[in-house]
Amino acid sequence: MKSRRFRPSAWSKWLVPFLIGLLLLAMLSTFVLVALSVFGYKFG
Amino acid sequence: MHYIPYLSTIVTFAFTAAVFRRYLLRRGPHLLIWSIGLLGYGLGTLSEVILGLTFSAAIVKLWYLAGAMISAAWLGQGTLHLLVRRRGAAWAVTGILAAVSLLATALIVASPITPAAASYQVSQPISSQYQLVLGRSGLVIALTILLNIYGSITMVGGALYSAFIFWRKRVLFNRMIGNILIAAGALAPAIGGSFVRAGLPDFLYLTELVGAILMYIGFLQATTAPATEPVAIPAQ
Repeated sequence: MKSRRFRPSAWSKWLVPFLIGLLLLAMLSTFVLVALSVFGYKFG
Repeated sequence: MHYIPYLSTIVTFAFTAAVFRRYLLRRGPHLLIWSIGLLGYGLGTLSEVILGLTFSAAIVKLWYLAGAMISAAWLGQGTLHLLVRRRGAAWAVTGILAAVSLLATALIVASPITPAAASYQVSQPISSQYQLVLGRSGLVIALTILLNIYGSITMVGGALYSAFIFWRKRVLFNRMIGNILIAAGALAPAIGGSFVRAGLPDFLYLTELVGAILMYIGFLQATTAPATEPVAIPAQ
């Protein structure tokens, strides 16, 4: 594949890993919610 | 709330057609498997449209099977095919998923519709009524959870992994952004589904629409060639 490099702007240097981390955290949170509901935790 | 599944269905079937068209042009197995997952997603939202008009036991079962049980896993399976270089291993897992999907289909076909179906209300989302209407065995519930966790890890995790690789290597900016959008889109209905399990069923329809739109934009972004030539970066 032809390499198409880009020059990261100042914001993308930190925003991209921040978004990736945030989305990973959100995914793990959904697993925790499911686990809690499986073990009978009542929300609200 | 009633119009949201209409929009989700239109977006999802347009997305499915775009992915399947790309499969016809490129022949990548991941594109075919994504098409299967998206078809399930679309059948789920189409079921919500129908269940907003009338009650049907068959459509409730289709909604649960296609939308709640297998679509996420098949979407994730497409990502697995894209990322795993050992094709034999990827196809072996696909075979297992196909067998589990057939088992899920048989279990849902055999699941009873409860007497509570008589008080089904078309004005309320199916996500707030299915637990009363559809009798689900422990195996069905366990399979639903496992298939969705598998789908989330492979689809969201795979897209984030790809985005991270592109970011670290500073290549393919479009695909990096596209993968972040695909991950966010795949996560949206997963969050909605978790809210349903947590007793907050009203968000599911909205998260399905947001998820379909984000994944579609992400797919277009990832598969569209950049308009400008790539920036030349001196060797470091």
